[in-house]
Amino acid sequence: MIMWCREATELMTDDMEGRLDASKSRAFRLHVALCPYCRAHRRQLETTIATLGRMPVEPSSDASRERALAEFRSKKKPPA
Amino acid sequence: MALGPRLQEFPCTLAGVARTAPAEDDAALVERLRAGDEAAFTRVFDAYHALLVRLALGYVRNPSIAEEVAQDAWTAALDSLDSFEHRSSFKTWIVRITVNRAKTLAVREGRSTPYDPTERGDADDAHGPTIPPENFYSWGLWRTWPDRWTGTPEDLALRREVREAIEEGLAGLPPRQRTVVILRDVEGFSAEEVCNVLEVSESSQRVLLHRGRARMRETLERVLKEERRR
Repeated sequence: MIMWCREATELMTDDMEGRLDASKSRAFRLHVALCPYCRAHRRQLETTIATLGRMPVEPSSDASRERALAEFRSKKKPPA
Repeated sequence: MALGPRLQEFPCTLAGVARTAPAEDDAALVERLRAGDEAAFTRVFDAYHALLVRLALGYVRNPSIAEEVAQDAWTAALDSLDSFEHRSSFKTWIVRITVNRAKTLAVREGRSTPYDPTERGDADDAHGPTIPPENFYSWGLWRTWPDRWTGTPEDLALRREVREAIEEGLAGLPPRQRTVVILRDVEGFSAEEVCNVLEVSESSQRVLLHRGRARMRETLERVLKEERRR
């Protein structure tokens, strides 16, 4: 079974998730092994994923923490 | 506050995927929260609150409403701590509460399409190629070749214009794709955890992930091309 770039590019996530069946997986791997452009495309996707995983997280404000903490404290008190 | 079905832990059954056991320190964390340990609460709040606000923002589109949703989610979680059974991690649980509240609010305020039980979801989540057909010859080979990107993810994430483009790109994704990409690729959740949060099947989760990633790749491609032109 021959697979071309158009199909292979749409199977990138399925492959990464290990969800291709055996024959699709064989055709996909063969295509990617032979096609430098699909390898470049896959590297772009991998770079995208890895960059997303390195995005810094903004810390929460003191005000929002204080507000939640006040709520947390109020729950400790026995109901009036 | 009544404990609706949305607050209960959603058992996500995926063939072939083992359910992850609760982490040792997760169980200890919940015990400390039940005991009213403020230091433990501060730690878990600092670890997750920004993520909760960010996720809520995908549905409600207003930072102060997103903050309210996240605060409400903490309150709801604390109220139902006693019924928390470790069928998911604490993190997945609080994320799930937040996303459900944000979704409900967005639907009520008409800011988003209602949750579609057929899982077809937003129009943007529909099937179809993620790469424009004109990038390929009719028989399926690349017509315009993908560039080789220079720079490691570490380098890219340090560049301000890349970070800004990614934030904008994420903000522009349809809500469910955005949630899946943030949880899977930014936060490192497993597929199973994301299914649990969004109440979707593994295959739907995968479609959302693929489409969201494809759009984020385009975003990165655009910013890198602009950079090279300068």
